[in-house]
Amino acid sequence: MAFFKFEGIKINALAASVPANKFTTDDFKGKFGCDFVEKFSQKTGIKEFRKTSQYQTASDLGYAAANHILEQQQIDRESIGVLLFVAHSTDYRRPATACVLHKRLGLNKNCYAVDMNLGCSAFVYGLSTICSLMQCSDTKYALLIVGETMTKITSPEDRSVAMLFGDGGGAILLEKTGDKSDVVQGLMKTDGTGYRAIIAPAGGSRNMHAPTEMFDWEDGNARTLYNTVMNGDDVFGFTISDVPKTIKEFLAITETTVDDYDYCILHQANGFILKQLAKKLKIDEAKIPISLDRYANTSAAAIPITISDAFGNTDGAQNIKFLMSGFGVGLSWGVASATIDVQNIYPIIETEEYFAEGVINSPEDYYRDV
Amino acid sequence: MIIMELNEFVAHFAEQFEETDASVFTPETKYHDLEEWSSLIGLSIIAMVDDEYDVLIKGNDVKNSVTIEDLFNIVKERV
Repeated sequence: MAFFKFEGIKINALAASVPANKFTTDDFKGKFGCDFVEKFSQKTGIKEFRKTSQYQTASDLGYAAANHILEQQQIDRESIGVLLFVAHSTDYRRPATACVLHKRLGLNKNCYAVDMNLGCSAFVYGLSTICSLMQCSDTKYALLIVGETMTKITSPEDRSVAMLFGDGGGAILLEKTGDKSDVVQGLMKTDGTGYRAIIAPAGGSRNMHAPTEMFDWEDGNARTLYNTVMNGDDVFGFTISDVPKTIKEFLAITETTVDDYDYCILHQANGFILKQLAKKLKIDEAKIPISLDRYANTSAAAIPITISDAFGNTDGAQNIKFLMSGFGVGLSWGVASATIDVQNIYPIIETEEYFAEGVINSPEDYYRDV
Repeated sequence: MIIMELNEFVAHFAEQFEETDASVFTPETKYHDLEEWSSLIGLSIIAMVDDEYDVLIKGNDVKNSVTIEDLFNIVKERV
């Protein structure tokens, strides 16, 4: 069992960011045909998504969100004791992207900075990990940064994913308050037998120098081994069976019902899946905010983007109790609950900025003074 | 215990289609050959089987079955 309960820790603030560069599903009608695109859009609910530019990364998006929080909340940067970056889209093979973010955010050396590799479950896993690190240390403030740039590793010729994923980032600031009424809880699960269900087979140490040619795959799509391939049917099956079971298990352990939460923030997998989950869990769809129509499935960033999108422009102080669930690549999934004061939820930031200093294209770039 | 009726299964199967008339569907229908068939309808079939029969079929079950009755038989074994 991997159930977590933390008392005296709260989410102090939340922000999210997306690239300014916008695409619509209509842009793909020439390539995939009007009929397919319209059906896809109708079934998934996706109409638009954002795409990073060549050198813009998940950490740039996460940086924009985290920096905004630190500025707005007027937190002393010296007081950040933990920086956790959760993503598959890292800046480099080495060092850890968390170390690059540590420099950019101007944090103190007395900081535990680390990366974790997860996608759709990144936010809920990151939340339980960072709270664990805080509870066992003298850390007062900690930053969880998530982000993903799926558009960089999907084939633009692949009908199954070309319009499904968008890029995005998010961040939360956590604070140790010592107040027992501040509670964060989580239930995490893994099924490694599904490691191939969503996979980018090449580019890692297992097959670093695979051929770069486009193959025609059995599912009728063209992609390279560096692209992400998804067995949509099996991922769908997992989503409609394991995910609602785990949410029900979480409710049973915490002795709560869906009525005890103000909103249910589900990973923005696609609209069809969200409808199935709402039906199975008997949650009123009005309690399930949707952001995928404009931002598509942003993997690791989907939960903070959805919260930021739905509540970023709400005025006044009001605590909102969230039930959250992230699920997908791994297979890895989890459920978490936390309360956030709506005045500390910031609206979605659009950014084209990237860390130009970090782009090393030649030995000269490497030796340049930074 | 859910008792499975073939005709009822065919009717549920047909409900996942929007353009193809329900009268087209029989146990012998080779569903992959239907013009409207798509991977998205495949997902609807998986969801329908889960909803109606509480059985989780795999992508390969949908892919490898030829007729609606083939799929019915797979589901029936697991109910």
